[in-house]
Amino acid sequence: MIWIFEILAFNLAIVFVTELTASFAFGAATWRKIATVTLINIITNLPVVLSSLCLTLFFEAWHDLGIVVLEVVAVIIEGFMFSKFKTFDNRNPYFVSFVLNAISFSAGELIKIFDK
Amino acid sequence: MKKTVLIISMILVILSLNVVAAFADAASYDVKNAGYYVYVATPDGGLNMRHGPGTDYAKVMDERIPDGVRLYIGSVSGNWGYTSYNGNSGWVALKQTTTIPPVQPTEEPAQEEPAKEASEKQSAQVQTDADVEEQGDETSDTAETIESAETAETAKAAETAKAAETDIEEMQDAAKVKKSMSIELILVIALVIMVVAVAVLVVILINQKAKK
Repeated sequence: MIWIFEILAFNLAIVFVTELTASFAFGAATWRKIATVTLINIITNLPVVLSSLCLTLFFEAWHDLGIVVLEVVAVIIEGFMFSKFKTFDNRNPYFVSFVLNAISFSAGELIKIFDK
Repeated sequence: MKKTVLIISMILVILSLNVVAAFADAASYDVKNAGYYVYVATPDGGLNMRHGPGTDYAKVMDERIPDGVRLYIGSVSGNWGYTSYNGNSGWVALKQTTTIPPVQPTEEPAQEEPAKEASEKQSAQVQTDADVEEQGDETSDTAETIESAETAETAKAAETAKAAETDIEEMQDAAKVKKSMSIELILVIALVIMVVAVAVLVVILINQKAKK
């Protein structure tokens, strides 16, 4: 069971490194905004990674499509929460959510490629 | 204020980078589905089963899995495979296994039987030859053809039954491995739901305070 938590922690670490850095660029520079971005990433990232693992282990044929669906849902939920809590002023929250998720997803895929 | 936030955030980023670096060599982030059998083949006579895909994880049981044991690998992470043995589930090092089954040692008592059988067959053959000479060659040829066809059919049926048994055994092994992994995942899912619920409450609280 500990290995599953390590997978979650690893993915969460990638998200924090990439998305928090990018959040600064989009103007999230107060305690409240940083904490909001962090918590929202915990809320979306953990279920996405866990669902991805379940897809890999039990529904391998649906894995790629499942990942796309999960990421789209995560972007929508994050965008909704960014707009509700006014995290990124004067910016489209769904666009910001898409960019942040794209950066963290790409970083994860790059790490997998380099590891191979 | 902005500077403090920036500094704290950079510390968080650096900490996260350390976590990424620490786990990067573990390959525990890349789990794939498997579904094949391997045989234990270690240089020191036994294979350890661990709680995770790496030697850093604790052993699942004190005893080692002996050489020659067949294990069903349900999932793979790097050079480690998830399997089940004697009611325990965990990860084993695939480098200490092989897909080639071990060679079965030949049994010595069986060698005495062919010699006995050969002498018995010889005496029976002498009698048969005498009978055949009396009855004629055509009758013995027909009997041999029928016997060989029956033997071939029996062998084919035995092969089909054996293949079906192997398939059932594989399905049972796969189900055992999947079941133990499912139990682990269900526990983690329950914990993650709690964490997400707490995170939702905290984010609402933080932003409500800010509104005031």
